[in-house]
Amino acid sequence: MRFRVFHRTRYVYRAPVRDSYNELRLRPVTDDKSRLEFFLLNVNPPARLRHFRDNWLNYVHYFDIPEPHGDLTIEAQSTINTTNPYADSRPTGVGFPALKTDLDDMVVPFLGGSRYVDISPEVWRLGIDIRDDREDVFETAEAVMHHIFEHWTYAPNTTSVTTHMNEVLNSKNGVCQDFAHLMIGICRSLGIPARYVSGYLYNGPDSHLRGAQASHAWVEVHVPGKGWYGLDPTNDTLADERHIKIATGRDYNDAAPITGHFDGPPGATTALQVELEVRRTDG
Amino acid sequence: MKGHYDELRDDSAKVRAHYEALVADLKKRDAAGVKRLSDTARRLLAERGVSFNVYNAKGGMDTPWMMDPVPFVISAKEWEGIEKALIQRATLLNAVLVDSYGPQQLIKRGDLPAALVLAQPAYLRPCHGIPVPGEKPLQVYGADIARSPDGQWWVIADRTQIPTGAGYALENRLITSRLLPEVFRDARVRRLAGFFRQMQQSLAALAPRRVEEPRVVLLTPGPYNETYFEQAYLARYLGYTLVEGEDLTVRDDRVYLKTLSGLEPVDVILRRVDDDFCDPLELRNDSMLGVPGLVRAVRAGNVALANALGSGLAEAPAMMAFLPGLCRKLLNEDLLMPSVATWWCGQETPMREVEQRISSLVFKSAFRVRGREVHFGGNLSATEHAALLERMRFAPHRWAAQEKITFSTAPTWEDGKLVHKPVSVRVYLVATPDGYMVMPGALTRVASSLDSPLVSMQKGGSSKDTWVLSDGPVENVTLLSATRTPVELRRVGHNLGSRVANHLFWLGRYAERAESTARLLRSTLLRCSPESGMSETPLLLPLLEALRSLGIIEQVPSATLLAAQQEQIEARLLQAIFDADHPSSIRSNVAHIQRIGVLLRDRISVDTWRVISQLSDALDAADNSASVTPMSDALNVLTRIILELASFHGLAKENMTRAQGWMFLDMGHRIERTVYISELLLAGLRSADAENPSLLEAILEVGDSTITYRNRYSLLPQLAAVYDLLMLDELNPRGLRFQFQRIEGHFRHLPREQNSALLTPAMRVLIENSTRLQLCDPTELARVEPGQWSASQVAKLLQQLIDAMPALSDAMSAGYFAHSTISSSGDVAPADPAPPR
Repeated sequence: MRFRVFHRTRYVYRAPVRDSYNELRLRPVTDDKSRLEFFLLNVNPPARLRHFRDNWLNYVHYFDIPEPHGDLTIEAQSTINTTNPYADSRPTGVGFPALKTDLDDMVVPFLGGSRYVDISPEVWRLGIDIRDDREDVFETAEAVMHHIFEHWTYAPNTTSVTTHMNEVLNSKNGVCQDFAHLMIGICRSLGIPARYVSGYLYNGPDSHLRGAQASHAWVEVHVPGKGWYGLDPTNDTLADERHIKIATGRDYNDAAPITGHFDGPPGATTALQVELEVRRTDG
Repeated sequence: MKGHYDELRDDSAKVRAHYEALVADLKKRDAAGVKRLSDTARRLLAERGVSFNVYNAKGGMDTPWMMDPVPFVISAKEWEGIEKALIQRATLLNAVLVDSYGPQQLIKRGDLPAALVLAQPAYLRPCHGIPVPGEKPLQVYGADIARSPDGQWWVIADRTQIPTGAGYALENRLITSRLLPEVFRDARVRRLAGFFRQMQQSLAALAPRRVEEPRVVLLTPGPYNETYFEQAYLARYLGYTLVEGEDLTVRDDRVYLKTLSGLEPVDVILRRVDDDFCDPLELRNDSMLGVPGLVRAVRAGNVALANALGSGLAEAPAMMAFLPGLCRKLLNEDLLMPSVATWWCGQETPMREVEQRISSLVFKSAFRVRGREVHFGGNLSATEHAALLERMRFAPHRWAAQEKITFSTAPTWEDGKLVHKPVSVRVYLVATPDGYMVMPGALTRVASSLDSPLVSMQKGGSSKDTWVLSDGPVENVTLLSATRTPVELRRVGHNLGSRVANHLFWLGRYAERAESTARLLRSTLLRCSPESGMSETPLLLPLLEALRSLGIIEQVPSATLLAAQQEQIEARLLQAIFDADHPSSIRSNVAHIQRIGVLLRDRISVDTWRVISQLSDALDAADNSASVTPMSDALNVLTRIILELASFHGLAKENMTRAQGWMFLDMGHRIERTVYISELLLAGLRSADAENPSLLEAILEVGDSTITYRNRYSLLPQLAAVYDLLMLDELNPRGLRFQFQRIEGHFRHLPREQNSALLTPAMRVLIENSTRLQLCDPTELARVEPGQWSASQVAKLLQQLIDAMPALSDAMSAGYFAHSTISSSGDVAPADPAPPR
């Protein structure tokens, strides 16, 4: 599928702020399953945009605006061609013992706790219950996804960007970011490497899927010998060609689309406007 | 002492040779003499303000640093061995860091388990692959060593991130060398200054810019950090600017210091802020201590950090289990000084071994984490054993087990006699172009009791100076002559930081506010003492009015009720002195002065600090509960406060060069005094009794101008003459005109005023009001139609002056201070801004 994405974020401040430093993870990924054809990034007030690739190989654009400014607009436009990673088959047939192999520094960091994910005995017990007597790694991950979808309630505005997985574990509700964190925690407690994915989701002109027309988040698990595969616990679906991947990391903290820091009075941000449009251009 | 190695005596109970000189010196003193030593030490420490903040303790701020007057002595020969072993260890740990943040060969070859490095919270992924100048991420290293009963030294902990305490070692040395001057001189104790000189050179050499004098700053987490005193002390000793994250800013991948005259480049940062708190942008977005964009600047190679970001990795207790093997692999040598026996439970064989001997081991986190827990296997019940084991089996890689070491004991002065206390020694090393250099001295820490398993300053231990003896003559080094090139003479120090200027400004304001309040209260109290039988009621009311308009008391009764309410009034006046909850009370003002004094610890002299502590002593000396304080006591307290503040101002006036710092202090002082004099005149002279000489006398007394008046007029006070003296006379340092002239004079020297072509807003305010005063005629001012006070020329003028002060203060803030808190912007939902510090 071919998509055009328009993503504009605008911050309005109560009083001018200064010394604003920002990092953006807004550039969709190019890999063997998807190809980025066009990408344009603009910020206003104008600033020099530079970039580097972080440890998870995400593109990070960064800029700073030292002068006082009353608002900030960040605008990303991209054109992406995607294919379905599951087009041929699901990566089943790999058993738990294989998880002891194939460990390198791109996998090990996704096995332990991280900023918003904790490997506690509670989450481990939940994981054991869900796994039951399954021996297949990918099928277990799918079971975790189903379980979250069935037992957790999608409830916007009950959590924030800084909600920890443990809170979600107890409150039993949240949004895509929270479900992704929870699924990551359960998978890791079972020894399955799991990582956070931030991106967009296309679901047709009349969307009914959660997370459409907003930044979305889902999970990838590592199947030894086969690679990373995406699962979307918010919508109980495998991440297919409708999922446009932008950045990956241990959790939200590593993959947040926009992070920033500025000097200003407390509660300076009075308005945050997000405009997002994902349009299909191939029929 | 059975079961411990005795540092003082050998097996035949004979004093060891290296302790002989010290023991002989102590023997010359009787018990009272030694007690005097200990008391002097305590007094010196308190006076110098040496403190150590203990978290979560009552009165937690500023717990005095505890130092035992009897130093710990190490012989030259023994030190040689320690030195060699620790140099080897520093080299090894440095190599481990270089590899972990670089090629990761150790992990790839299986010499170091991947989980031990990559799964550690201290491993900063964003720092992987960032080149470190000279391949020396470990610039300063601290090793905690202790001696087991058989006389063997062991490393019990490594400090590779922020080795604290070298400054305390220096302070301890300063004090023992004063306590025991003869034996210190004769015993050939090695000096510490050479080590710090090397540190200066090593850090300067890290500067990416090739400049004559690179700018090195010490980045502190701020005055609430446990070792803030030490940070301020070291910064001053090493000649570095002490900065908080807010003082620095990153522009175009370079780090700058915000100063009054703009941004100044920073080359090297000696940091006391934890690894992950250093950059809220890339490392921890909830950090309020760091500098956004710092990692970027490091990555671009424009600034060097000591120690390099991520160096905390090497101090994980679990790492100790692998050091012997790593030492053979990396250095081709055997490890010279063993670490305390350590098992990392993340591997199966050690885990099984640990399970077998659980009761003889100590269990802790495998990694260094904040709020770490420690379990002594021997102290656990059977159920606790089982619970611990279960937790370990769940996440074995997070646990390490260590053997317990029975520390050696050293003679220590306690409760009037010498006793034996367990000690551990922290030794410091600094990187040099040819390896590492060891500080010939150390911070010895004393456990509070013989069976205390931990030696920690946090848990109420004490410390000792450490004397490393020399075989040859002792080298004399002083830090000031560090370079051979002649000093380029200068008249100004480094440019003043905006934050420091702001603090000095407020220090001036609070000091003046406290003084004026004390004067006004003293004059008021004198006039409502029982002896006067409230007969001076007409005089009392104007003073009470002045107190009210300054917000010091809430309401003033009408004249008829005054006598009846004498007790309430007295109670209110006492509250205005002692009540800590009253925002304008003297105690609150003193608290502000102290708080700012702490923030300026590296800027103010020891004597000034002493005066500041005596201010609160003066308040505490009177009974704490205000209600029962007798009037006479209160008057004494006020007088003492006024005198202490006079010495504060005197010290500032006589000791500070007339540079930017002094200007801001004095401007705060002058602005506040303007407000006070104006309010005093406005509220005090509105009454119908304004011409009453006794009232004028009181006003002159509050304005501290009685003597001047008497010298000039030798008459009963008259209104016009009082106005002239307190408002228009440019020679009276208590007069309004004088204040304006001083502020204007300071402003003309500020960088922004000098560069701007037009008058700045602040300058406009100053010139306008100063001219107004200049054009006044005192006899005109004294002419007020009865009942028309508010419309009179003098009232309007005074009100204008009062209104001008906030405008002036705001103009200064906008121009010179960074008056902002830091907020963070997130995606989706904006994160809540953190409360201002």
